[in-house]
Amino acid sequence: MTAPSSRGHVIAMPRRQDPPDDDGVVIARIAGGNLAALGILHDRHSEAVRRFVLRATSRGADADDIVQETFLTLMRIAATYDGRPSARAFLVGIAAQLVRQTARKKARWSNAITELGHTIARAVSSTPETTAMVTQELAHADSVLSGLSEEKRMVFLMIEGEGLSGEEVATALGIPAATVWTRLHYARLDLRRTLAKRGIQ
Amino acid sequence: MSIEPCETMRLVEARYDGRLGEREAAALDRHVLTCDACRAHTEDLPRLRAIAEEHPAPQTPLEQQRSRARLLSEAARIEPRGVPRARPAWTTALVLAAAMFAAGYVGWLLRTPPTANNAAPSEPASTNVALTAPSASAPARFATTVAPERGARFAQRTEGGAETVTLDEGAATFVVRPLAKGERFLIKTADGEISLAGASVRVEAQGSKVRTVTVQEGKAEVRYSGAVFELSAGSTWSPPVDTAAPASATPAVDPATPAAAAADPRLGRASIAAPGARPTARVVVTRPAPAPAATTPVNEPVVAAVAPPAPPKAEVGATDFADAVHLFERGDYPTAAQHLAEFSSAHPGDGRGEDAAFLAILSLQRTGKTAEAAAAAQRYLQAYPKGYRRAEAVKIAASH
Repeated sequence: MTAPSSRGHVIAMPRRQDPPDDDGVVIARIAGGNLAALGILHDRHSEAVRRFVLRATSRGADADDIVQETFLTLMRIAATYDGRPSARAFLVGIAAQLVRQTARKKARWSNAITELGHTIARAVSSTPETTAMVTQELAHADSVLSGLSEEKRMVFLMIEGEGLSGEEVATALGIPAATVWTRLHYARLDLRRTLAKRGIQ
Repeated sequence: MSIEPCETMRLVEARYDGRLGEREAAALDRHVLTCDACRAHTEDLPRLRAIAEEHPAPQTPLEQQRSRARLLSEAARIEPRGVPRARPAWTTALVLAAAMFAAGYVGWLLRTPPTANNAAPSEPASTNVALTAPSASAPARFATTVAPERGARFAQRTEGGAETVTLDEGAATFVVRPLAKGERFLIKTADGEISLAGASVRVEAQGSKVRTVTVQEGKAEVRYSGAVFELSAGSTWSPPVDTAAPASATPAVDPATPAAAAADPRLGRASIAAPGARPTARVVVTRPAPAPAATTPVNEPVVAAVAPPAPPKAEVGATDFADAVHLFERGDYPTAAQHLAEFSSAHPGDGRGEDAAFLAILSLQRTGKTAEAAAAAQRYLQAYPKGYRRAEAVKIAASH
C-alpha cells in the first residue's frame, strides 16, 4: 500500500471499473493492434483452450505451443471475427484446426500420430509436475479417448467436453453439421466398445 | 454394456443433445422401453460425457502469467491485419535520408535559414503508423510496437539510442522490449514524460497533455511536474483534475518536505487497476528542495506519505477517507479499522465505500482480530455481493 492517498494522491486501491467489454469488443481492439486486449483475451480463455488442446492431443508435448499459436492466429484474423460476445467457441475452433495441422505434420515426418494411442505412459512420465497432476481418472479417460480417430476425438471433446453446439463445431472444422453429429455418434459407439472391451460396465 | 446396433440409437443421442422435439421424444420413449440396445445407449451417454469432462489440472497463476508474457512477446513481433508492417531499419534510414534531402532542397528553395527545429532531420509528421523502426545507428533489437487506438495522433523521433514518441491526442499501447544500456524509450506529452523498458503500457493524452498511464506489463516511470512516479504492472496513474495552476508557475514541490512534495495534489494520482496483481506505485521526488534535518535527503527516493493540503470541495468525505487510508498506510491498523468502517457505513453510496470496507477488513486482520475481520468480511459480502474483492472476502469470512 504505497500509493498516494487522496491528499497525497496515491491510493493503492482497486480502481472502479466499467463492466468489462465482451469478447467482440476486445477482439475489435486486437484487430486495431491493441496488444493489451490480446492479454485480456488470453486471461479469459487460455485455460479453456489449454484444457481442450491437452485433451485433444492426449497431452502432447506441443500443447503449450498450440495454445500460444491459437491466440496468435486469432490476432492475425481478428478483423474477420463476427463480433459474438463470447469467443470461446472461436478459439477452440482455431485450436482444433491447429491440433489437426500439428498431427498431420507429425504423421508426415515420423508417424508420430500412432503414438497418440500410447500416450498415457508418456504423459505420466513427461515431467514430475505433470506426473503429480495426472489423476488416475484422467489417465483412464485419456487412454479411452486415445482409441478414437482424431476427427472423432475432436468432435467428441468439442461437444461433450467444451459444450460447443453442433453448428459451432461445424463452423470451426469446416464440415456440415450433419457430419458433426455422425462423427459424434461413431465416437460414442467406439468409446462404448472400448469400455466394453476393458470390462468397464 | 450392450452395443447392439439399432438405427434408433441416433435418435437417443439427438434427444440427449437437445435436438429432438417433444413429439419425437415421446415416441422414442415408447421405443426405448422395448429396445435393450437403445436403453443401454441411453444409460451410457452420461458416462461418456464424464470422460470428456475429465479436466487436466489448471495452470497455476505463475504459469498463466508466463504464458501471457510469452504470448505478448510473440505478438509484439507480429502485426495484425490493418496495421501497417514496420519497415526494416535500412528502409527507415533510406526514408529519413530522402526526407532530409527533400527538406534541405525545400529549405534551399525558400532561402530560409535552418533553425534548430526545422533542421532536425528526424522530425516526422504525426502519424498513426505502428512503429518498430529504429534509426540506422540504433541496435536492431531496439524494436518496439506502438498500437494506436482510433483517432490517436503521435509522432516519432529517433536520436542515437533514444526513441521518442510524442503523443498529442488519443490513446496508444506501447510494447517495449527490454532495452540495452544506453537505449531509451520515451513517450512525451506537453506536460509529462513516460520512460519505458521491457513494458507494455497504455497512454492516453488529450490536447497534448497526459490523461492516464496504465501499466499492463513491466514497469514505467512517469515524470510529471517535478516528480517521478514509478508504476508497476497493474497500476494506473492520472494527473490531477485541477490543473488550473500550471506547474511552471508555482513550484510543484513544497520545499518544506519531500514527502509533502510527493503528495502534492498537482502531481497526480495512481491507483491499482488489476485486482490481485500486487502492483505498486511509488513516488520519487527529483526536484531539488531544501531538506530539513528530520526528513529524508532529497536525492534519496521518497515513498509517498502524508500530505496536508485541503481536499477538493467536490469530494464529499474525501478527508475522512484520505485520513483513514493514511492511517492504514502508516500501520495504525486499530484506528484505521475504526475510521474505515465509519466511512463505509457513513457513505454507503460513495464509490469509495467498498474500498473502505475492504481495507477495514484488512486492518482488523492485521490487528489480529480475526473473528472481527471475518465478521467484517461477511458484512462486505452482504453489502457488495459482486464486489471487486469478493474472492478475498470470501476466504477471510471462511477463515474463522
